[in-house]
Amino acid sequence: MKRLALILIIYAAHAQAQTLAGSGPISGYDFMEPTTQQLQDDDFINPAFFLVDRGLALWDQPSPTNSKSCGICHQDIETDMYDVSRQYPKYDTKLSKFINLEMKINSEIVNKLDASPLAPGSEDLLALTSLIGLQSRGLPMASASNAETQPWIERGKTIYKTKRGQLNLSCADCHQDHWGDRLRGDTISQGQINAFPIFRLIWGEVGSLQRMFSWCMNAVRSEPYNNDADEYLALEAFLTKKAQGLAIETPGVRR
Amino acid sequence: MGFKISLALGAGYAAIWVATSVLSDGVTAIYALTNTAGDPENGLLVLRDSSKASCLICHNIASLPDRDQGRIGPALDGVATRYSEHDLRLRLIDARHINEKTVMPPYFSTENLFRVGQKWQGKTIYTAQEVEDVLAFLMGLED
Ligand code: HEC
Ligand code: HEC
Repeated sequence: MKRLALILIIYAAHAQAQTLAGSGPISGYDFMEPTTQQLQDDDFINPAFFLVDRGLALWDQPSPTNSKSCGICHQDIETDMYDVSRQYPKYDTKLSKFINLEMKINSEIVNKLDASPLAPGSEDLLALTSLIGLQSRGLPMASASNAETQPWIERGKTIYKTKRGQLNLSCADCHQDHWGDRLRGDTISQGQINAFPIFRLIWGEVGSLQRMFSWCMNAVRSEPYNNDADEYLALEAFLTKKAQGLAIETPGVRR
Repeated sequence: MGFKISLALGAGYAAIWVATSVLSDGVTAIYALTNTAGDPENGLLVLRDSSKASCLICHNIASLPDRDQGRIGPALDGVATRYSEHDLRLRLIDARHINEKTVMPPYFSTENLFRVGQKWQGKTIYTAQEVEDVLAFLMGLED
C-alpha cells in the first residue's frame, strides 16, 4: 500500500512537472493551493457567484428612463451571451472604438437603456461582466488577429515588456521569465487572464482585470493607468493572445 | 576602460561623500556612501523590512529563520566570499551597472526609471546609511 502511494505521488509530481514544462499557456488555477481550487470548482461555494446572482437581477431590472431591460432584448442569456465575452477586447465598428467587454456593457446601458454608465470596477459592472463571462466558461480563450486588433496586441506587448516603477520590473520579468519561482510565499503564475473577474482572497472581494493590472503596477511602485486607458486595453489584447487556448474559468478564485 | 557611474542623489543626500574610481579590471568601485560605518544589526532589520522591498522577497538566506523566503535571485549565503565589498555595494546601489537587464531593483538610484508612482518619485528604496548597514550585514555572510 505504502509503496503504491509513493509511486502515485512520484507519478503525479512527474505529470505536473511535464505540464509545467510544456510550452502552452498555464492557468493561474494550476498555481493555487487545492483549497483555493476547490472554492472555484464548486459554484455553490465559489464566493464570486453571488455577483452572478446580482447580475441576473440587474439583467431584468427595468431602466428608470425607458423601462427597458437587458432581458427584454436578450431574452435567453445562455444562448444570447454564449461565446460573447470571448470576442473582447475588439474593435467595435458601431462605436468606432477598440473596447473591452465592460465598455460594451456600459455602451448598452447608455444607448439601449438610456441610463448612466456604471463606474469601472463597481459591483454592478463586475456583476454583469461575470454573468456574461460565465456564458463562455469552458471555451478556449481566442484572440482575433485582424487588422484592427493587431496594433493593440503589438502595443500591449511593448507595455508588458517595459520595466517600470521604483523597483524597475516589467510584467515579463515576473510572469514570463520567473513564473513557477517563489516570490516570498507566493509562486508566481504566468499572469493569465482567463478567469476574470476573479474573487481574490487577499482582496476579500471580486475584482476586475484592470484592478489586477493596477495592483501589479503598485507592487513595483509604479503609477497605474486610469480605468479603460488605452494602455490597459492594449495589455488586455496582448494577454488575450498569450492566453489563447486556455479554458475560460470566469468567475475564478485566486489567492 | 571601465564605465562611469553617476549617482542621482536626492537633495537630502547632497552632503554625502561619494567617490568613484576605476579599478584596473575595468569595474568601477564606489566607496562608502556615508562616514558612519555600516551597522550589521540594523542592516538585518532593514533587509527584512517588507516596506523596503525586502531582499527576502527574491533571495534566500538559509541562516535566517524567516519563513517564505523568495527564490527568484541566487541565495545570499556565502555572498561575502563570492564578492568584494565594492562589488556588493555596487549591486545594492544599482545592479544595472553590472547587467542592464537585471531584475534586481536599484536600491539607491532614481535614474532611468519609468512611471515611478507619485508616492515614490525622487526617492530611493534605501537611504545611503541603509545601503551601508545592509552591506555590513551581507559582508558577514561568509562560507
Ligand atoms: C433595445 C434592445 C437592447 C437592450 C435593451 C439591450 N441590448 Fe444588448 N444588444 C442589442 C443588440 C441589437 C445588439 C447587437 C448590436 C450591437 O452590438 O449593438 C446587442 C449587443 C450586445 C452585446 C454584444 C454582443 C456581441 O456579440 O458582441 C452585449 C454584451 C450586450 N448587448 C449586452 C447588453 C446588456 C448587458 C444590456 C443591459 C444593460 C443590453 N445589452 C441591453 C439590443 C439590446
Ligand atoms: C514582482 C512581480 C510581478 C510583476 C512585475 C507583475 N506581477 Fe502580476 N502578479 C504577481 C503576483 C505575485 C500575482 C499573484 C499570484 C500570481 O498569480 O502570480 C500576480 C497576478 C497577476 C495576474 C492574475 C493571474 C490570475 O491567474 O488571475 C495578472 C493578470 C497579472 N498579474 C498581470 C500582470 C501585468 C499585466 C503586469 C505588468 C504591468 C504584472 N502582472 C506585473 C507578480 C507580479
